[in-house]
Amino acid sequence: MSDEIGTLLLDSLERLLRDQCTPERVEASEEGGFDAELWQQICELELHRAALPEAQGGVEADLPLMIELLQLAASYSLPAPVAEAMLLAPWLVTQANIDLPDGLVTVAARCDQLSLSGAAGNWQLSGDIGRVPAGRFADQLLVAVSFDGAEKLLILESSQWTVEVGKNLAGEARDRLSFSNQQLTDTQVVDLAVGTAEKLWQLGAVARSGQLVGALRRAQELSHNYVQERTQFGRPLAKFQAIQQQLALLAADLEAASVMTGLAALSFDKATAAGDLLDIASAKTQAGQAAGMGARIAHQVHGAMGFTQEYPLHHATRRLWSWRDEYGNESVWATLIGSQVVAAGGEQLWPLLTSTSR
Amino acid sequence: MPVRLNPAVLPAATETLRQQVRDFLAAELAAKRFVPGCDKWLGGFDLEFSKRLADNGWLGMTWPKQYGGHERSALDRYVVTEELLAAGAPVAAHWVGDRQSGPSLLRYGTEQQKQQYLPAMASGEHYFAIGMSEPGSGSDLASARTKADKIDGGWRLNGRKIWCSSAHRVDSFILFCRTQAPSDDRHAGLSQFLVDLKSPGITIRPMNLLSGEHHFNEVFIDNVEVGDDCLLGKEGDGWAQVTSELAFERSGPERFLSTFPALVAVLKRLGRDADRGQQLVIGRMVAQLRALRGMSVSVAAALDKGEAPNVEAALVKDLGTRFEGDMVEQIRLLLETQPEYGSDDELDRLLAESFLHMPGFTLRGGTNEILRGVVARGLGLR
Repeated sequence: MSDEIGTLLLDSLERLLRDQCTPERVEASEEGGFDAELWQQICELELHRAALPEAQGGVEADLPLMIELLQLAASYSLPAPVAEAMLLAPWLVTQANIDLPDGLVTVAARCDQLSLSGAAGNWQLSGDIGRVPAGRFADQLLVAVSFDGAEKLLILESSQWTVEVGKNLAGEARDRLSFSNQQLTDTQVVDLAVGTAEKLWQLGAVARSGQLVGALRRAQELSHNYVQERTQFGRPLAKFQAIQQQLALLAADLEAASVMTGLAALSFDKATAAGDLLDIASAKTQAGQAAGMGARIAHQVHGAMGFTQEYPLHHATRRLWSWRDEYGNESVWATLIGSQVVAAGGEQLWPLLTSTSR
Repeated sequence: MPVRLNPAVLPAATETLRQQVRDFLAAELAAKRFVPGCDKWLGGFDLEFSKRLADNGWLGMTWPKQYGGHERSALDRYVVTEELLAAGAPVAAHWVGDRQSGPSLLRYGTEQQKQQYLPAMASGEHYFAIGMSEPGSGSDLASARTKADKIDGGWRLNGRKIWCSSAHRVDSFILFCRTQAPSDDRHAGLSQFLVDLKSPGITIRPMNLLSGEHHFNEVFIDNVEVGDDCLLGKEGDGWAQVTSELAFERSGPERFLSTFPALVAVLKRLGRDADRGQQLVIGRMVAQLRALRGMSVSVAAALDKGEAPNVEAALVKDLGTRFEGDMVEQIRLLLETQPEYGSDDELDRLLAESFLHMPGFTLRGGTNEILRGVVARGLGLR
């Protein structure tokens, strides 16, 4: 993949979102957070296939580029499960060496209450999966399950599950899908390398970190515009040092999350080194922390104006409050880092911090 | 205006150098030639240690060979500085000269000045202090009142400078002062001079830190006469020169690693049996460190490419200096500690060094409030 293709993809997504993904359009998708027509336009641009190998009709977009695309989508609050459909699903089918199914494909990264039984020619699936992104809208669902010491990719169709609706703080569908003794064909059960499910979870964390950075950029942009337009005591809010200091704090946390997410994207594909997991865990920790801080500052400088549904700030901030808890919150990832650092001992901390995966 | 840092990693070629520095530090520690400490880039003055670094080619690393330098990349220098800081090594003697006085000389000095100072600095035989702040001129540097009056063949200097680290032990400082009376343009009429701290008319008074250590000084300049050849750069260009010096001063790893040895020490004290709550606190600190280092390397890489990420450097310094103080506050609560200066217990000693130096972290090199003002301007808010 060349830089030109990357620029092309980013430009075409930006143009589409600028023209089509207006706050009114986002508002109209409040119930479930999915705009089928916008998603169709994204598919017409082939963006949902960008991460696939060329042989599968993609352009092998690398992870840093995919994260940039997700950031961009998030900065427009695009009502679609882009992380799952554009990144996780293509990644998973590439690992399994199968084609990307048609339609809206979503992914569930954790599915402890799902049980696969039987054998080739007679697969049975029972149980349920909670908080599936866009579950009620999806045509296909991909999950990675443990089976008999190995891992299997399941390609499931909407006719096979029943839906119990749920949503996150941003109104995005997070539905419970239930399977009752579903018979699966052999083409629906594909071998995966052991560890793929865990890697999928990590990829989800990098994706959400990128989306958090995108939503933060939107909250920042709205805040900057607002404080320059809004006048109090005879001056624009931007001229008050108290406001400037708050927005400088937001910028610092945002850049920390942004750089850390970029580094996690760079190292994800590389050979597994200790630093890789540290980058991913640090990215989600920093992005989650910046989300809370950034949302607080953005609302504070907007005053009561940002506190209602009449002003689009909430499209960004409710996503910040939702996404920081998905694919592991700061506590989950920081504790993982802490346990590894403690196990390695103090002398190993600096070598770990300076490790670079190549 | 976008404020944006592109994530960068250090080139693989720096790893050999990193290992050389680690081997050197291991040998120094084995021979008990230094005791790791916190904030040793301010408080660890050891001429012999600095000289040994010079012997390894680690002072003046990026300077041209014709001035005693080694023509290494800025990223090579980054590796050496971060290794020294993480080890808590005593690097204060050469820190200021290597970081900013040398680069200023290279940029603004005459050929004769470069020949006079740079080779001696790179070989660890000549050391510098900073002469910027004054009793009435801290954040508002342009209000400096120290002045230089033109005399035949040179200048007569009068005034007072403060916070001059190690001025009582080093050879020279770069004096920032007025060469013209203040006018409507507050930044006009300011200049820099290279001044020998042993000159007649210089009096140096200690300003002890909260720990009782003597690093800072007040320097009285009373009718000190210097030649025309001591003017650094152009007369009247002092403001532009000094602000470019600040860019060097703000972008380095010393802005988040001052207390790092205390984190290593608490991990040693905790051993393998930290509980989940302790792991969480440690994990959050390590995540922030990883991010700050990523940002700092990204600034260094941008500088190396000839960009001027001044706003980004201010942003990283704001975040990093808040972090290095917050970190020891959290370490303190991970277990029961009784910080004591000079304690035999490593953690208690390092925490004491950290707390008694901590107020300076978010003041030196531009207060965090000033830095956030720089960021706000970069964001287009001022």
